Amino acid sequence: MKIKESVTLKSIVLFVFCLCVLFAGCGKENVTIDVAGLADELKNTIPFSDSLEEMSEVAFQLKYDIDEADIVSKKIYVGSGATAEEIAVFEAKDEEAAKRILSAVDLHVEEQIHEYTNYNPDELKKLNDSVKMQKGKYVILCVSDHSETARACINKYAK
Amino acid sequence: MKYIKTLVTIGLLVLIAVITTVLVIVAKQSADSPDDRSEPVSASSEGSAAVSQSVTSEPEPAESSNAPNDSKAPVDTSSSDPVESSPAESAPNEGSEPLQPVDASYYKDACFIGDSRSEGFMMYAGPAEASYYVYKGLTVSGFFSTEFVKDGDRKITAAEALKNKQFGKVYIMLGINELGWSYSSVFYEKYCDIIDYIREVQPDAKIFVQSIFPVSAKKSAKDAYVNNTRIQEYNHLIKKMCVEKSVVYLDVGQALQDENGNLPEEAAFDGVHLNKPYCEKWRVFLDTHTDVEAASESEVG
Repeated sequence: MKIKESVTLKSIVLFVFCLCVLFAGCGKENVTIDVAGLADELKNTIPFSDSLEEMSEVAFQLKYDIDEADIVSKKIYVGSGATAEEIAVFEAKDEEAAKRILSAVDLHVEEQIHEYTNYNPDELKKLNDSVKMQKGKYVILCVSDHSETARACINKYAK
Repeated sequence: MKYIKTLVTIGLLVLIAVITTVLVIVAKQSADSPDDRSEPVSASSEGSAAVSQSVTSEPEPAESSNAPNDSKAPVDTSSSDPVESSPAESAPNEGSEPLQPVDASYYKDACFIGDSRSEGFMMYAGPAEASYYVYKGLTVSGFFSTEFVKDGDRKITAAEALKNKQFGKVYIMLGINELGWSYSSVFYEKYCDIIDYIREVQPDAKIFVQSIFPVSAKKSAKDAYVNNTRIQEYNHLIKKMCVEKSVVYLDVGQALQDENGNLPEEAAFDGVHLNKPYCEKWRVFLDTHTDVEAASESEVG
């Protein structure tokens, strides 16, 4: 009887231990993304209406409030101003930095919503439905009329 | 009794297994979610207000159109200062010697002020050394009232921002968003106020006023306000102002337009906002038109 109880207890302890290990693994995403590759993939896959081109460094400084020290690499494509269409892919130095970048991306989108509300409200749908995603230490933004396509593209690329 | 204990133990294990499975599925779904984040960031209007609550709507006088989007209303040509618009404006710098392009360091003390077109220039071809006070939908009124320039944790107007730093050159391009205004004379007066103000707060700066470059023929044909006839009319006013204020008038359009005075269809997908190759042409024009005299009476015609 005691042996059986002991075995049962051991099983439960082992099971709980396995659970802990499992959830500890869920906390981190070991993803590796080719930043420029994903940005180009999104640009080539999604039928943007505007002609997207790489954003200049000076424009990046004004448009995104991100600490340079958080960024390992980035690639940003932006529309001509006629639309809010945009692609931004960042590799952060770690996941904590990626969280900060994601917050900055959120603020950037909010700013765009504010600007386009007065300027060209037709673009608000794209901004409100924009894809903002963190995958491990990577942050991805895609503003387009094809958010589902963008999500699928990112998930496929980030596997 | 021992069977009951065994059954209870198995039951507990099954329950834990079910909970675990559910938790794992939820965790995986959460990880795959597009808006996955450890710290959810609000996308509500409250969040928006917190970020940029200081931007105000512009009180343009009798304004009919703010953005250069399609305007379906009939053309309003009423103006207290009617101007004859010539079909093809002469380039003010015609007859000048070919100018040598400057290098990027020239722009170290330069400031660009403008609307979405200037923002596009900054995005694609703007010199990294320059400062930019550019904003979508900016108008000659908004120069004094729209708070969009980041200044620490707050936002200030372009007018206020100009007080904070001294420049050697100020490039300005406004007007595309004012084409729907009922009175072009109001545009003229407010633009003059801007030039006077810049002179006051930037006494050492050379002021370059850039023309409103044309829109595409397609855009021009379908838009009641944002069309090339209206743009020529406004450019005539801008040139007149440059003569009156003794500042440089740069006819940027000459570097961008086709033989008919329209923006080529290939230059902008919406006929208004330039793509990168055409922003680069604009940049080349600026690089080669630095040593330009202030506008003279003969240029207005």
